[in-house]
Amino acid sequence: MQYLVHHFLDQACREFPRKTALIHGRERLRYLDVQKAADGLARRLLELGLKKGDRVGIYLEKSVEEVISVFAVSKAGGVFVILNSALKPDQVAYIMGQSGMRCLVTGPLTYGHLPPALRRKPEFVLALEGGKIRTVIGSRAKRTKDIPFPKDLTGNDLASIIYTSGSTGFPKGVMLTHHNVCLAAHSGAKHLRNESGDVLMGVLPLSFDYGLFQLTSAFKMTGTLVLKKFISAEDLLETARREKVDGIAGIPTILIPLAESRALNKIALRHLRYITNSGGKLPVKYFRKLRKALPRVKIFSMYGFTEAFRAAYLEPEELDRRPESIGKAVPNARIYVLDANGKECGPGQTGELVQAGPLVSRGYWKNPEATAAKIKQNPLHNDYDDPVCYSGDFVKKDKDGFLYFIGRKDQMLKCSGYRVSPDEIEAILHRHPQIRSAAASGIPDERLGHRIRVAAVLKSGASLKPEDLLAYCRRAMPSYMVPSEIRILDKLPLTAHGKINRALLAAGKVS
Amino acid sequence: MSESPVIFKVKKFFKKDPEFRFPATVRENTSLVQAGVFDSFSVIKLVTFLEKEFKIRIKPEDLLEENFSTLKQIEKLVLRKQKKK
Repeated sequence: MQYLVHHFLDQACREFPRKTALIHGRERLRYLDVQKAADGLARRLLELGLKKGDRVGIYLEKSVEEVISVFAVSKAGGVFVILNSALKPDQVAYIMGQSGMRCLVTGPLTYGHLPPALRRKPEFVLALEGGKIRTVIGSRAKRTKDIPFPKDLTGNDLASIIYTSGSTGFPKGVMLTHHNVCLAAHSGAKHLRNESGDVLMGVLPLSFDYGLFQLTSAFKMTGTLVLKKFISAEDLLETARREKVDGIAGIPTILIPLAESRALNKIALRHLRYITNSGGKLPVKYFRKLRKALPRVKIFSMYGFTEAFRAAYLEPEELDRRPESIGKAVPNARIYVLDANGKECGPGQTGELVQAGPLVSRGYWKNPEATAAKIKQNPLHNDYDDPVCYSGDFVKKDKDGFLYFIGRKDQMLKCSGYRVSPDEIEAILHRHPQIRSAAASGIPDERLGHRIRVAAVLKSGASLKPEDLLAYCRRAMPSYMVPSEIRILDKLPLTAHGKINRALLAAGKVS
Repeated sequence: MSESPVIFKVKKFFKKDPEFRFPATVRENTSLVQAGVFDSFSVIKLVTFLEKEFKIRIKPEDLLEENFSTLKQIEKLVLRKQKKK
């Protein structure tokens, strides 16, 4: 069984070396080609002195090079940290520093987005173009040739750190082991009933747990991953038709335009077998629209959180009966609904979703306090070490054991599938020289999950206009975090305890 | 090489708005999606600009990546739409 991330590539390449592994626009790479490029890059990383467990940033747009880098870092024994190309320099700088990134793999175009100070931050930088290493910058290390690939890696070694918004104003890095990533792919193949040679749509970013899961799932089935950046529903559907896609994994931001598109009835998707939704709730009416337009296609409602990689899914057959449900635990996961005392809730009783099993991550990189608050010993027994992960999501179970999402325990928001903390937005706003204080709140939005509303108080004498602040946000924040509404106020509304009253702001009851 | 008026205007539009990231390395045939110039959030803004600036109508069916993949392709789309009127 594959227990290291790159085993999926190795195995597929052994079985079907000439099968198409990746499609990106006009580019087509066979498993053989991906393997050769990944081996070459892994060897180069080792020659430059990469050691087991070193963090390697991957900062590329969606591309075959990004996929090659993931497998290369895994082969070389490194830990890949995929930087979403939507991130702005400040976030990239933070992640570089917090992860102790030793090496950065990038491309000429993404590299161009980085300010010069950041380009010199990692010890060495490799730029890829056309699947090959173009340039190596910054390494004065002596090159040692022919270093063998590490042979002592185990499934418990870290494969990746995925950064997700944190409540302290800074992102937190979720540590995923090779086991976490590999077992999720095995689990997914089972419950999504993937078939050998499946063509999957890779429209979600690899920096997103569910996006990475598409890659490992496709390679596990010696299938093909179609890399596609989401531009429009029409473009996605046309690509699905042209490339004979079997499965599309989406989030509401993608699936709502898809369900609403006139092209859905016009473009014949003969091969499409399933669509999955994750990263936020898809309102029932859109499930219905998709079911109506694509009656043969199975639609899965998925639920997961990065700290436990994948968690629950709803069988398509149940969708009509329990459209609001997030289903039951995926294979190889166990889900409890626990009350504040750590006791299991009965049917209909609201509690926190807590996950046990080997998909549970190792917690947060270099953050033992946050890890201890998230991952604890199973409160239901003390017989052996059984770490469980507290999701922070309130849910309830019905009498048949199906789960329903109720809300968040904290103030965390979901924007276009990304977890966003109001604290992180506020921290960025506070860096603006004219702002005295600011508050961000989320307004529920079908398509985006949440829209961001910002209220700011200016320093005396400042004359900042909302549109200037918006321009600042666009420069400083990834697009999914940019507020849709900005108000300049004289003072922020406070709660009785003197904290900022975000609920009042979200309700729009301030002027 | 001199730029066509369409490319000149589109480039100016990209450079002016902070929502688009326009690296200096972008040439006429550089993939704009690969360069991260726009995504599904900002493509609508680009379409609105093109419709207003060049007095054309861009239909949902035209929202294919190939039509917006490079500056050159955007120019082709604009010229094709202008001819149709």
